[in-house]
Amino acid sequence: MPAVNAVIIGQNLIEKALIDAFETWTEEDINDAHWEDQFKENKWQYDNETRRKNGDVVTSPRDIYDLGNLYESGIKSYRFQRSPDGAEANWHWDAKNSSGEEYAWYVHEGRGTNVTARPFTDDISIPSSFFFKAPGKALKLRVTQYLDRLNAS
Amino acid sequence: MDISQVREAIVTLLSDSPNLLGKYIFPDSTEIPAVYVVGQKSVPSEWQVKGLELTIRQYPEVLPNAGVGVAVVLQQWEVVLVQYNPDGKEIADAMDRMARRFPDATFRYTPGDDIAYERCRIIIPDTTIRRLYAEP
Repeated sequence: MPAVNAVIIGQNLIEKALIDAFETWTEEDINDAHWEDQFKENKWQYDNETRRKNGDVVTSPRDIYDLGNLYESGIKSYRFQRSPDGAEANWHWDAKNSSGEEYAWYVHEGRGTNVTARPFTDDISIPSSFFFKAPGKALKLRVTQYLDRLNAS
Repeated sequence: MDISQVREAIVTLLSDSPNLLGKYIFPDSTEIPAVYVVGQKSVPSEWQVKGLELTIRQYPEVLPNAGVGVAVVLQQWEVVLVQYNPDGKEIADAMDRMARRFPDATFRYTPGDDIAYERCRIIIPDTTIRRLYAEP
């Protein structure tokens, strides 16, 4: 009777490759690229005309960059941590308005009916659509890339 | 699903006894259920809102993924519930009904404060497998 045996070797190397892929994805694909797309592209629908703090009068669709305070607070807050259980990346958009309050949530979720949500984290935080969107596809690509390198070495 | 099916499903769900939906009041005092499909424009600012408002974005976000001879197409519908009377509890019941009707939806809840009304944005995924158009 024919017999086949399959084993996984180099488990630690595979784990390391996956975490390295995740780190590159969070740093290069998300922190250096994705947030810029979310904040600087004219992609957000919005009802009313607005005069911004930077002096621009914007309509719809619009970006959410303005003076860049919210964007900068997010990308500067980026932290990546490895632990025995895996790895974790965090961002905190903690820019404050003139009353000293964080306002990221109001941009993200809107207020009432006529202030539209601009949910700039949805592409990476909604599980059902993650792999349909650019960040999910980029993560698959990074994982493939790092595992291929492992095979080559 | 298309927008009329989404609208009908949610309105039926939320207007079932006890009805949770509030009302729009027009400048001439006429009242209609507070349900609005947001297309090019949002709810007209001259309409007053009483109770729980339901808005649904007219066009879903369409996300195709290629297969062999087919496309897996994810449509994401965005629904927003806003509680305009701060003492009202309808939004909690509405979120409960929505979670039981659409268990794979993502809920983004914002409590009310002195700036904004209590509100919940709900993203409903709707996946279909479609045949690709044949080449001419």
